[in-house]
Amino acid sequence: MRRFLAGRLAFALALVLVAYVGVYLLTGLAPGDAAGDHMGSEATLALQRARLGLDRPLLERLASRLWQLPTLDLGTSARFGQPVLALVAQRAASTVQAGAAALLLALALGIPAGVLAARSSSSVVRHGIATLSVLLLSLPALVMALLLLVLTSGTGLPSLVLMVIALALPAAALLERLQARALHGVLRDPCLTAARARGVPAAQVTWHHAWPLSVPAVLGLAGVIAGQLLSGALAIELVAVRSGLGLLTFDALQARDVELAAACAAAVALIVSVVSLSADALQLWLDPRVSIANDDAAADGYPAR
Amino acid sequence: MRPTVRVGAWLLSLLCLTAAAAPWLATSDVATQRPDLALAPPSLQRRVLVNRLPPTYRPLDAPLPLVWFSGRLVRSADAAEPLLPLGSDSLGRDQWTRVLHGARLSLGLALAGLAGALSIGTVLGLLAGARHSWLDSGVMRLADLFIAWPALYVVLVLRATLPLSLSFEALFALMTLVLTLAGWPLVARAVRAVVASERARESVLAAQAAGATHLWLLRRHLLPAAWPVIATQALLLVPSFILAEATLSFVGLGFSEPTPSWGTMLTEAINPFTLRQAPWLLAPAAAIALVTLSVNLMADRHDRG
Amino acid sequence: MKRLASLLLVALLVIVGLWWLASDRQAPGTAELIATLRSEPGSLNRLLAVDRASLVVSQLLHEPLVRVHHVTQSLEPALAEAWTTLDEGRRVRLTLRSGARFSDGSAITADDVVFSLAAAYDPRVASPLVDSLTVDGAPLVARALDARTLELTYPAPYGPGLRPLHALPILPRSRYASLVTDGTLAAAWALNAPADGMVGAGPFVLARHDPGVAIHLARNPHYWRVADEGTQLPRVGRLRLDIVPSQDAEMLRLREGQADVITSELRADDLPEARALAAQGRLQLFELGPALEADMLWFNLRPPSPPRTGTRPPVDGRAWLRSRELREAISHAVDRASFINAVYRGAGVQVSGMITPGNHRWHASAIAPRPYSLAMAGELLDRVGVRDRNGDGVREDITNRPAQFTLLVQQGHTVRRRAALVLQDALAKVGLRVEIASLDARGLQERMAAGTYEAIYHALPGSDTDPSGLMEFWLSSGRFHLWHPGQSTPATPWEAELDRLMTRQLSMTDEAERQRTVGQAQTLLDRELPVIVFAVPRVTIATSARLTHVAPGLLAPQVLWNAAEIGTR
Repeated sequence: MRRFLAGRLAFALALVLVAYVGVYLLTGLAPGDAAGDHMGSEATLALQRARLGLDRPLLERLASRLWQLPTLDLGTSARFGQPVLALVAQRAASTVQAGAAALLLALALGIPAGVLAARSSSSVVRHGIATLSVLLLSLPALVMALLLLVLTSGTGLPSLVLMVIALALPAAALLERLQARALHGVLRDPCLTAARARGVPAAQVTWHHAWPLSVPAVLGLAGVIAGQLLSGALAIELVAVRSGLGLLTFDALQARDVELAAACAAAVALIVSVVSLSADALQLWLDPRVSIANDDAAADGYPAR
Repeated sequence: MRPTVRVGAWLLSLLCLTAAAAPWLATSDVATQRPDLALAPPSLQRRVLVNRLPPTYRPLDAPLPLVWFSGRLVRSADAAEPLLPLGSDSLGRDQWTRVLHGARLSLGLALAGLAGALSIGTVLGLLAGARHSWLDSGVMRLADLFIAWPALYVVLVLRATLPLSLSFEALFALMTLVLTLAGWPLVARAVRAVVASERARESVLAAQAAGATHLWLLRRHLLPAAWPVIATQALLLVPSFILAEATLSFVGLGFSEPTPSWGTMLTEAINPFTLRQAPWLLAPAAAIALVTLSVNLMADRHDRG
Repeated sequence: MKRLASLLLVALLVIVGLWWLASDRQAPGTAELIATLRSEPGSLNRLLAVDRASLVVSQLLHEPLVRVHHVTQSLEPALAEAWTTLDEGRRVRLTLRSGARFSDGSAITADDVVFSLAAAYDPRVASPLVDSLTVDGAPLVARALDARTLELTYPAPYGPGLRPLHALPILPRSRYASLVTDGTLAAAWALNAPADGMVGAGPFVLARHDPGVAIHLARNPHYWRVADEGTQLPRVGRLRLDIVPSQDAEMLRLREGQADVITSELRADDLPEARALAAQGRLQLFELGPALEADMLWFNLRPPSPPRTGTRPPVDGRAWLRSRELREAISHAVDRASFINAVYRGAGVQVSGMITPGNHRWHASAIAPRPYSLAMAGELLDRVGVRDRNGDGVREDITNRPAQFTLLVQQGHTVRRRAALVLQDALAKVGLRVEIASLDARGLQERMAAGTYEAIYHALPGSDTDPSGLMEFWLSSGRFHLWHPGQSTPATPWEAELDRLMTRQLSMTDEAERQRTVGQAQTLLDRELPVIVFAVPRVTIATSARLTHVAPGLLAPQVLWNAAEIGTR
């Protein structure tokens, strides 16, 4: 377990570094740069470039930035004039806050709904939940965010609630589908038949015996979903008027602010890696049968051997 | 086949047929602008513009003269006042025709992207899962990288470097490439998971003991076991590719006017003004929802009902 | 045991989540003016940044010597109480207001003005204001005669006079002289810098900054301006600037009463709803007439690179793209009334030049737009050899290739995109095929500077109404001489003439003569049509009904320029 964690952590750091360097180079190589948004002359533009440090070649700037990375000095944003680390950290915290709340809401809605959809004795409940899920999954996220905005515009709901709901509903639907499918997958397990034969009530069979067996299957993709929720979505941020990572990255790229864009990409990579690492670690902790060598075998509802 | 799968298949075939028959089913052409019929609601009556802001029309007592089966299924005999089954957009273009022609583009692109993502994802997933080696972790880590990468922003920066006017074929190929690169990691992860668990099966071990080559194992044991997963992934990717086309158009990598695509039509229509004054402009969202719904129904093979 | 632990963990997370949700509710403000910004400003000092948000906040925190009244568009005294011109305009003697203080209570002296002006020219500050404060390539020289009087010396007679000084914020030397030498001035005026380090002479001071959410400003008790009836300005004690990234969201806030002032004018789509709300008494609307800035269509008029010596130059099939006849034809081919209906939903005005009727002083009203005539357009195109040779409805050039070009627009800009579509449709009627491509703002600017495009539909960045702010556009050597920027010598006689006219008007101190000369320049532009302008929207400003003393003008910021005067009921 420890070796697994260490390996994945090392990979996560490598991923963050690759994301940083990659976006740094891409933004720097794109046409246009951070200076020059005004009706000034060439001479003024040259002075501005010198002040922002844009007159040095891109690779040299990258090299000196990488040299300063261990001290967590990510430079100053050319677009916002503030230190990059503070800016990204604040926006990331805001995004993770909304994403975590959305994840909790999605789990609270999706998992019980999935169990009900698989095991409820009433076919109305089963079909109803399945239909609702499919409908929610069919709406483009942008449209749903807009609908929510219009529906809640009369009430005084804060933008955070709107964002959380807009993020949580499709994720809840996906989790519900995953959970239902996973529960179906473990139905024929002999230990369940044995429990039923012993006279354990059906509800207890479902929740105490069957559900824990299905969790590893859900966890596999849940990690990916959680990662997407926590790393911000530009469109939803625009609709819900919340300054998060998505909007910051977009602004940074529009303004060709190389340092800021690279830091944002690194932040997103970090969040996604940490989340998927946590999901896989959680899976290992819950189910000791999953061998460390087959760390990804439990994804998509196929129990490991 | 389960009833839901059947319904889903019928719906999808109907949609594809409608898209294929677009020139015949359309009521007008995609490009003609009529400023005096801007934002007109669907109607079978003749009408006259009363006010431009907000666009209001007074219906006259005369119905539109319709002519059937002459070049198109149905169209208006009067060239100056076309039949608008789904109303008109802000430039007075026929929304129904544009949604139909957009269907060909959106569905075609989604299918092309699907072909690419499936083939690359399957090959890499098979290779990764068939043998636990450096190839396995290498491919999986590469997939993680692609998932965590801010693809959208890369496209935005890329667009600025490309030549301004790309031919239709080049643009189609480029968008297919982007979709393929975005889609293959999910397919590869799923395929690898099932192949990794399959190769521990007794039947495969027995075949190996009997002296089967790797190619034989791949072809006879592992690939057939992977088909259901590949099919599921395919069905899940189609709607996300259609929505991805919309997002790509938002960042500038889209088909040029007047070629309609659901993506460009949606991005113009997504604002509270449209929802209140001209809800028929959200028809592409309904179309995307229908496609997604049918695909999700088809993917839902485990419903107990 | 594991199950219990996981249940407790989930419960803990849920509780934490709910606590987060609860703590995020914003307390409603009382008796404060709420305005919106589209993004966080890059700097709170006008010396350092020129994005729109910085412009708005700088005007609230700083005070210049003279101010441009956004309604009359003329100069009026601010920190400078009065001034006299000597030596035919080469010298100006200004008297500062007595008792004027900075926000920390220290007196504003002429020495501070000298320092602020010198800071603007300092290469370590790299201020974008340098060009507007440079005359004939040389800086203005300021000299403090005593604590309240200073003398400005111009290197040459300067037509605009004191006008460029409206952008210069006056900063205290005692605080900022060392920062200018260190090069840390930008850090002191960044949004995250401590508020007590920001001392200015404007009506407000920075109270608090909620990152990504809002900027809170408080009244500057030492502000000099007093209202006509004697009230100390600013009237409001607090001003909050919320960061709202989209205009849809701004409209929503305005409608709900959560914002008093929004960043820009209403879009055509928002007008009906705004009018309904005004009828209910929840909003007040101001109709300001035609907008100041026009979207323009221009072609890349750079000559192609000369062929290698010795080889015969190939027949240039694309020469017609650079011809004046094409631009005239386009101006004839577009029905402007129909253009206004389609693009601005009827709420627009035809214009014939890039200086619109919204610019009261400099608009040349004698120039009329070209009449709508497809016949004339066709004849002009025939004249340059672009005619329909094979009868397919699309013209061909002299090498028999279809006559088409690519029109570049900014992506995401709804109005310009709609206009490009209307142009595409209109030009198709004359047989020209237009392909529309969209790029983000920087990419577009890069292509314009590099000349790797055929046609662009875009606008100039906003500036003052006085043409001296647009010299980079007028002069052929300028960076924003859209159709052919950065020329070392004027490529055509008419551009040389334009250079001559616009350079001369800079040194004319007689206002009427300047207006005549700029009028001549506009006539020249209309004759050669390097940029084609079709229409501009009518500007309507909306604010909440509880505001008093609102005087919106066409110059940005439209409402907040006199934020000190605005009060709430």
